[in-house]
Amino acid sequence: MKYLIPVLTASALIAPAFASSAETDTPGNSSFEFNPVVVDSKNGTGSTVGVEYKFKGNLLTKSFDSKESSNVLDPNATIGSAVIGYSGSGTVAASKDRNPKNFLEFQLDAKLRYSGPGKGTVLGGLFAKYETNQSFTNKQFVYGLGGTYGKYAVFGENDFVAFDANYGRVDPKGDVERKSALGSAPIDPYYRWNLEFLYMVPIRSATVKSVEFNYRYFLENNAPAAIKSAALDEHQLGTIRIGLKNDFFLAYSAGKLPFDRKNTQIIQLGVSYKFN
Amino acid sequence: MAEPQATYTWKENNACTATYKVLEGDKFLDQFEDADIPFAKAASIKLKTLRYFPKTTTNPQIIEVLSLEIARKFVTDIVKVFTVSKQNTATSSATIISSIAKIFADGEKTIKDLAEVVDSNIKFPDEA
Repeated sequence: MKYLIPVLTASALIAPAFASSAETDTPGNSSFEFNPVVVDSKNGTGSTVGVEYKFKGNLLTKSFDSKESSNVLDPNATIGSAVIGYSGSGTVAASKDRNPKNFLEFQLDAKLRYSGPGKGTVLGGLFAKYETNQSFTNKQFVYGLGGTYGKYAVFGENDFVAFDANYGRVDPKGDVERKSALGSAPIDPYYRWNLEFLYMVPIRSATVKSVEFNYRYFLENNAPAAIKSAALDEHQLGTIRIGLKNDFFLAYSAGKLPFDRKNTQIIQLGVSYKFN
Repeated sequence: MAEPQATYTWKENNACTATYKVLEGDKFLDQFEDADIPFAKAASIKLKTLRYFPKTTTNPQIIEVLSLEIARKFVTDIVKVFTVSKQNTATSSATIISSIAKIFADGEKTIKDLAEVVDSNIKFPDEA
């Protein structure tokens, strides 16, 4: 149960603070951003321009922070809250057939949040997610439990490590690739692990500003033989990105996400745009 | 929690200089070099261009965790450099850190937006 352990951990840590106070924020706190990219796949059909997008917002936030009677600002204050929120992310390419990251996600979740000084921050709770490719020809619905842990300044002053894990039930009725692989067999729901790791570190040099590594892994539990033979039971994508001066970057990815069928290596060259 | 002003001006007051100094300083968050982004041009810089903001993932849970972590470090560094207090005694330190984390989590926000939330929640020596 990928989300279960973080949920229990978060609940145990936050519970003592529940008696102190509760503050409810109004909905809002939404954000949307996009970044233009040029992507090229070694085994694909060529380069294409696209946009990486992401949005998120909170529908309800209930804080369990302790009340304070002094005007002293304490950077070591413990933070605890319950949040119901929504989010979405993905890459949309001008040529959908050339999109090597053809995987869009839209999520609704309810989670507990805890952050303590020197301990890192943990989130855990329930989620429901809609996953599709850019043309919506392949799609599926996933719900389950999830948790995220992250900590700043682990190996150095300003590096960051995060681990995100989800375990959910997938309804693949709209997954045409799966239907094709199964043939006449019924297309039943299944359970899937979804793991993600991130490490980032700033670099103090004349040309390189930062180095970032991201790894995503999907694994179906007890996949049928037909799904295994079609290589649809396991997906992984690793990306390393080197941030350069003047907002240029070089990124290299190996692997594929669910719904990607033909690409195994992606090289991205680009510049971060500033829309002021 | 104090609400930000309708319009906020980037200027050389304690809130703006503390925001700039903590973001830029090698001994603090080290997010950019002053030669690349001098104080006068920092106001409009979007946070997604800084080193802390992830470029290889759009996972909102990871970004939320990251924003809380860097917000705590940001407040810790401000307290090291300036003698500060809360603008409003009733606002908890956790709420102030969370308010700053919301800005760090939104890559479209600017350094000036960050300074505005800092100024509205943290009282500096130049504010009698």
